[in-house]
Amino acid sequence: MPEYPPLLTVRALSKSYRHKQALGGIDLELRAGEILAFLGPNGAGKTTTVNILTGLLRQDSGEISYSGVLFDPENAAHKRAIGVVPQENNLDRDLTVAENLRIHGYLFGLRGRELTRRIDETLELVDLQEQKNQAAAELSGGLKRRAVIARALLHHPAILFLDEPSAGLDPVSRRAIHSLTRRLNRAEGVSIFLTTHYIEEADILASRVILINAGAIAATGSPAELKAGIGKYAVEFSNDNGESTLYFEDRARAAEEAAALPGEIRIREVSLEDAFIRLTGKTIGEGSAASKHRRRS
Amino acid sequence: MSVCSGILGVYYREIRVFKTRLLRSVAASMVSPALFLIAFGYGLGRGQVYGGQHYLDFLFAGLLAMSTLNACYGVGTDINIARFYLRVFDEYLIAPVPRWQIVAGETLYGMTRGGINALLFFIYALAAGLHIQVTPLFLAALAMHMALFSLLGFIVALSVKKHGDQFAINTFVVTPMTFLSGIFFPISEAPAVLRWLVQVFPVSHSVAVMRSALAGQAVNPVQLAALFLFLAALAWLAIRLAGRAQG
Repeated sequence: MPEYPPLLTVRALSKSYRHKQALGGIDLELRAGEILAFLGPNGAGKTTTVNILTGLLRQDSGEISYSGVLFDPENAAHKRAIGVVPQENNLDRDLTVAENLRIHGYLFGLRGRELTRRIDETLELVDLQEQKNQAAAELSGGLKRRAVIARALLHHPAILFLDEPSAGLDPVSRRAIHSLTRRLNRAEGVSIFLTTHYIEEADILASRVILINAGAIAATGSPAELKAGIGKYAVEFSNDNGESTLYFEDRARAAEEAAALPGEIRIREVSLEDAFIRLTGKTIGEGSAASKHRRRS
Repeated sequence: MSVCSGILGVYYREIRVFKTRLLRSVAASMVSPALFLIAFGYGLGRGQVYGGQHYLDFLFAGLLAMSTLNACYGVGTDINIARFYLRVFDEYLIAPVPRWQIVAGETLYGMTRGGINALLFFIYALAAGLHIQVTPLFLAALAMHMALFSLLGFIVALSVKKHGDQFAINTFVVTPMTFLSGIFFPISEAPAVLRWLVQVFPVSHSVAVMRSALAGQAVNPVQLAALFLFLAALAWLAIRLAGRAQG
């Protein structure tokens, strides 16, 4: 994928809550046209980052620029450039999908026929035309998610923040959200900042991944680059010291090594989770200390 | 972009949500005043005269103030639900609108709620043959009273850290204010300490101005000025809090 200038640049962003550090001076960039996954366990600082970048929270220090211009949460033009899909489905449950979108439209300065047209277009884009006049409370989790995405897209933002878009969804709904995310990025040209704690989500959707842990960035790169950094094959085995994993560049070498190991052994391709564990010593799922991991060439 | 996008967005949202529970909300904020009217107006206070006014006429103005106060102040509960449970308030904060427009939208919504209650009270007054005069001065005083308590609801909603805190404020501030500020009895007949104390409650001034205007009597300019001052102070505070609000 060609590299474009950054739409969003963050330098030395930090935030603490009552002396507990949530972000410890992170740097990042979102390039035009990409899907950037911000991957980390719960409590890593993902939502805090999104809240600061969208003007919902104020940072303690650090700079945020959109297209080279310093972000000012009071500047209407800056806010119109971004769309936000929060972690929770914050729709008005008693109102219809169209009414929820209309509120957003009014807040973003849309009116009359233009607003009605955009509501119809956006609902079509996310495949929710049939649910237009249905109360949000009557929608399934997946459909609610799509309604929240539609709402965030109504004012045609250049950047869409998706905060854990598929958390709590069943596999079918999750796949639908993934397909919608890809479509928005490729067909509609929306640059996407995606926070997730699902490894596969980052792996299949993102052009680049930032691994975040305990408020600090552990690594940045494409999924392939991050995985290549630790090898191609993983050999998992257990012994008296617990479970361990070894990484190898080629399969034959992995198999040779595995043959000499005692106990249960499994050979597989390395995943983003392996990269995360190697870099942080933690698993993404639980944020707990992981077993031993070593690289052998 | 229209200069009033924020006001329109916030007001539209609140009114649409309110419409889904219109009867419940209006009935709930009318129950207490209606019971007080029956118990005190037609029961204990029947035949009593205060300052040349029948107690029922005296009480009507107070209960009108109480009912509209409850309805307007109730925006605080709605904002709290929007902030802590639905997280809808975040939608306002991420929108490209100045924060004062959020305050204005919520205040207009509170005034609309209060206006519905006032209308119902007037229908009742007409049916009951009460002696009231709806003058422009009264309408202006009612509008200020409703704006003031909508702003108070907004301020409380944005000041509390969790939903439960609002109940504590209702119990320890709003209820005493309602009972001690001349809604049920003339403050002039209260002990001196209480007479001074209730001056800090805005409702003491708004109910006095509204009562005089409804009775066709001259309005105390000091109380009218106090009403203006409270309104300006609460509007300033509400805008300041809205400016600091975070998701």
